[in-house]
Amino acid sequence: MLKVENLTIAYGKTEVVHHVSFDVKKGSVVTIAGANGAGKSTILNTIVGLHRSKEGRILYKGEDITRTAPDKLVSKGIRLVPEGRQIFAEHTVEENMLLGAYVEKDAKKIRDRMDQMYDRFPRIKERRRQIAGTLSGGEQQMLAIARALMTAPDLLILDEPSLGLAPIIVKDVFKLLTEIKQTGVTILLVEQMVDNALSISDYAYVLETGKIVFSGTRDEVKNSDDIVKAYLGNV
Amino acid sequence: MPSFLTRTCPPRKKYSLWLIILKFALLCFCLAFPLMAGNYYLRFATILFIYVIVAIGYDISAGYCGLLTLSAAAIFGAGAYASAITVTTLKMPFLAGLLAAMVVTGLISFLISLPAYKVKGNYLALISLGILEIVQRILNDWTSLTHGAAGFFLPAWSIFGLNLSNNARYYVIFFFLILIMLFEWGLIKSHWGRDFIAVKNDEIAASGVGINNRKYKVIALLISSVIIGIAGSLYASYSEFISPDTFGFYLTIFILLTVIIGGTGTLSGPAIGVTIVMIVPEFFNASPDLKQIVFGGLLIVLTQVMPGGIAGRLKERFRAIEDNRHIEDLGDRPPVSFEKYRVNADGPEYILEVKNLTRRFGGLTAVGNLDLKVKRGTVHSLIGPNGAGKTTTVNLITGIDKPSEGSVIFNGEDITGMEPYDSVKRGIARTYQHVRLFKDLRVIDNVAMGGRIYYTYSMAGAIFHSRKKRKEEKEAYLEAYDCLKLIGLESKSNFDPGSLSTGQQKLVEIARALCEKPKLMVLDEPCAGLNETEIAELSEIIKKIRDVGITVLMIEHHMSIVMGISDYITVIDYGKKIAEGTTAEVSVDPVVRKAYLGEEVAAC
Amino acid sequence: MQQLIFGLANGSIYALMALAIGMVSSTTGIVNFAHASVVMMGAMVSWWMMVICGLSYLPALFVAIAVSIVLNIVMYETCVKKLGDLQNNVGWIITLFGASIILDNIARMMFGTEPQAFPYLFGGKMVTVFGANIMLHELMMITIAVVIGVVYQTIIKRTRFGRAVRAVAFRPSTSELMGIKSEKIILSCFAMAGAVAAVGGALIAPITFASYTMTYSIGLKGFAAAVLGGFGNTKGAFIGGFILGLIEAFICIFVPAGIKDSISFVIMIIVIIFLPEGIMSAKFFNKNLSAAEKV
Repeated sequence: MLKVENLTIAYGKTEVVHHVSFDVKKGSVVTIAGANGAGKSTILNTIVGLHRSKEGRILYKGEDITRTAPDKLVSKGIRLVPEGRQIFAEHTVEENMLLGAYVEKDAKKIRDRMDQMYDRFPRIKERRRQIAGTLSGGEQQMLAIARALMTAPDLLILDEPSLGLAPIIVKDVFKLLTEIKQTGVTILLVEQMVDNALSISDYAYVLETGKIVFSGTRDEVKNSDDIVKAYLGNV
Repeated sequence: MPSFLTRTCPPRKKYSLWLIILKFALLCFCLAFPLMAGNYYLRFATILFIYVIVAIGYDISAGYCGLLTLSAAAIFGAGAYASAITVTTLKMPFLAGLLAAMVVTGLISFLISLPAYKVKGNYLALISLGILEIVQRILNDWTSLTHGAAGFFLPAWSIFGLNLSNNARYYVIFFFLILIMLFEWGLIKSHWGRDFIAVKNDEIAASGVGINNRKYKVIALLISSVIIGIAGSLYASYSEFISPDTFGFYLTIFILLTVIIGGTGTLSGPAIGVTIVMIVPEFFNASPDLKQIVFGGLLIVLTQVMPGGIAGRLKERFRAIEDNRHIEDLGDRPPVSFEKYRVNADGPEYILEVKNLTRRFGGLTAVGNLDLKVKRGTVHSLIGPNGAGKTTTVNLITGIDKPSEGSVIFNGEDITGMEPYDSVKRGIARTYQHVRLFKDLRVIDNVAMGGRIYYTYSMAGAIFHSRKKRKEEKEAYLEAYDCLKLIGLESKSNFDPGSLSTGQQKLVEIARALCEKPKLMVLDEPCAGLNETEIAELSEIIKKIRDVGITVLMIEHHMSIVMGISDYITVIDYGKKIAEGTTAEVSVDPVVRKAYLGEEVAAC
Repeated sequence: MQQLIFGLANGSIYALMALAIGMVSSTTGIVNFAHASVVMMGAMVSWWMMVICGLSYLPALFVAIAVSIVLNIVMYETCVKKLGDLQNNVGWIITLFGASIILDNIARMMFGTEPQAFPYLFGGKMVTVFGANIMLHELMMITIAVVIGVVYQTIIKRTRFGRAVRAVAFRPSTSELMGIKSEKIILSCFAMAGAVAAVGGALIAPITFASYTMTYSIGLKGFAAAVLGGFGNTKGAFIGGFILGLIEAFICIFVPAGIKDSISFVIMIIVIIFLPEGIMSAKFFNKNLSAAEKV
């Protein structure tokens, strides 16, 4: 589904991601794990076109999308749920949903999608007239995911969906992701809280200072020393 | 930039002779000019000198300190009218008029700078635009004072009862120009000039090295206004007739353009700019409208194409020739070691005590009831997942942010809510998560900024290059050079910080902090953006810093360095402390493993 | 009564100018310092079309609107777009002033230096309301301004485009993730601001006469109104505009006419010093409003 080849990314003169390659199979959940500052968010932002790569290729469904503009990628079915949720705090909840469907012009389709989302997220339906900034953190995360699902993407990318959320809410978020996976959406996940992420993943990559140091299936990663090392250092 | 560090640079030496010859020739030419020029050109040159003074004044606030105002013409006009009214209506001598101009323009500068500390660039531009309009109205409509739109006639210019001939006027104004240039030179080549640039480049970092941003902005605007006021007074006395429309919007644009063309924040820029903007149109017999259109176009194009102006370009070129490599080998300088920065260990056992620290943003509690004790002479790491409130905590300690509740005791003294520029004087130095170096200063200047709290010479000393100034500047730069040597970057002294890698920039920040001779050094993610080798080097440096008694409080995600060099670790999550202890204790603490890895992975 | 209507009429133009400044500043965070010149251009072009080319009022106005839209778009492309990070690079202050100078002088070359009489709407007909003679034109000014304001608010609140504008104002990068082309939205805001500027210019011109000096006599007051209402706050812009107009209308009782024009700048400076977010940010107004009510 998504194939990243030899990706190198730099901010100015500083390379932050070095020759990273990985791929995401259709219908699977893939996690990129790693400590803060390892370059995870940078990779995601580059995939969705917010940042330019220095080298390497990104293929989506066999098509080269390396330097495609973000709005084109949305139409092609790639959606990113950004780090820290980034809902439009000054819009109402419903407006957030509508903005999620911005590239969709067919009003009926939008309405149908919205109804589906409201069925799945009753809490959001209850609050649809509220200003989004007044939602709790967990609700905001749900809204951010629902907003991304408004265009029925094939590939959903999530950047630290657990960030700043209480553990109990995090559980809900990951439960939801499992459900989304079952509807056939491919998921690429970046997470600091590895165990939650791994519990729903099929495959995982461990990133350390801009390089992939380990990759494997869920169990392989879970039992590897590298993951502990990446987070806690050599102890 | 003290010359002893660059003296042996061969290209500069080669060119410096030419520069001296050029300067001398220019001086001779200016002195001999009245002997060969006719009246028209004499007048032209005199007016040119006056505008150079204005441009120099404007450049001090707009170019060096980054305060983009649009009221230069109004201040020039206010100076001219203040002087004219004093001389004519009050029948006082010229010097009294000059003084009046300085006082009036000084007062106006306070009006502009009043809000300058809290508003951003666009508001400053608006306020100054408002002042430009208000001054225009007053000049036009307060006829009893200013004679209104018809203009104001002054008596012939005399100083100490001597009537001045055209040639004498030229020399008097030239004399003032030289005075102002020397003043500017002395000021800019002192810590004052570097402080202005620091304020322009990065207010947070400026505050971190002990600069009270607000004070410096007020001072920059004051100096700038008074210089422009002097020019106004000279203009009024010289031309013997002034009218409001001279001091309108177009003059402001003219001044802005001269500085942009010449180069903002450079010594020679204003003179080059005024000369070009005044002389070039002389060759074209264009209508004033067309001239203005060209000026406008230049403002648009130059700002985007040549932000440094001509002088900036020249400077870049000279630096390129220099190749940034030539630092004098300080042969007899004793080898430097971290020992120099040893801090003696008297005072309370815990150098930093944070009690019940709380910071709320709206409804969100970023840091809640945090207690933290940092033992003297240790490396104490503050760790926790992303968004746990670590940087907020550090900002509360160093004074960038103010706590909602709680107190911070440093070395037995309550420093809660103290501004960073004060806490740095108590001995707290810090580095930043995202590098905050002053981009318009060289690497060594940046490091020397750390030692600026130890300067004692006055502004007068700076202008007259007092012996104290020379001594202190020399010491400060040798000190900075030593700091750079300690981190192994002395060969980069003359580089622009932007040309260094992130890792090197982070090291330069540490050198700057070291130059503050701190008791406590706060490092905010020193390893972010560094590669493995650099991280290894860095951890050695941090250990050495700790070994000379400087306490280090560090936020870091890179666990191998945290575990490798910390003596104590505090773990926070959701703004609260979840674990604390020695490195060995924390590394096996299940709570910590859980916070980082979650239950399942932590279990295996 | 006459003063009241006069104040409101002038205020409505200040409001339009502040609205247009707000449109641009809400999405980009910059203050279009050349806006005053675009207002002047709007007035001059419509005067030229009417008096020289003999068009009637509406077609002339449309030409002026078209010209102003083009001007603003060109301005964005040449003066703003290439500067990159507008929060840290304040070069736009300089480039936009450059644009302002160019426009003023083009106007001076093309249309001359003499102030020109500009026809009133309805031929300057007067009506008597409560014993006061009021020009229909002034009533029209207020009406048109209010209509534009309401239409703009409706667009912003109710339409897909409006949602996108607010999204870009809130956070451009997140908007991109939704598939919104931030740059296109910003460009549209510049264009709309140009159109509003032309309307404002053409409406005020009969009262002030059309001349290139309108940039300073009228245009700059738009900034004062925008400051009063708070930058980027397009509702506040209206309140700021009307307050400014009224203060000006009634203050002439106390101060000589010449000083009157500087009053708005004195107010502006005071507001910047004490309430840099505009009067709408004062606690008095803010009891129940959340930040979400802005834009």
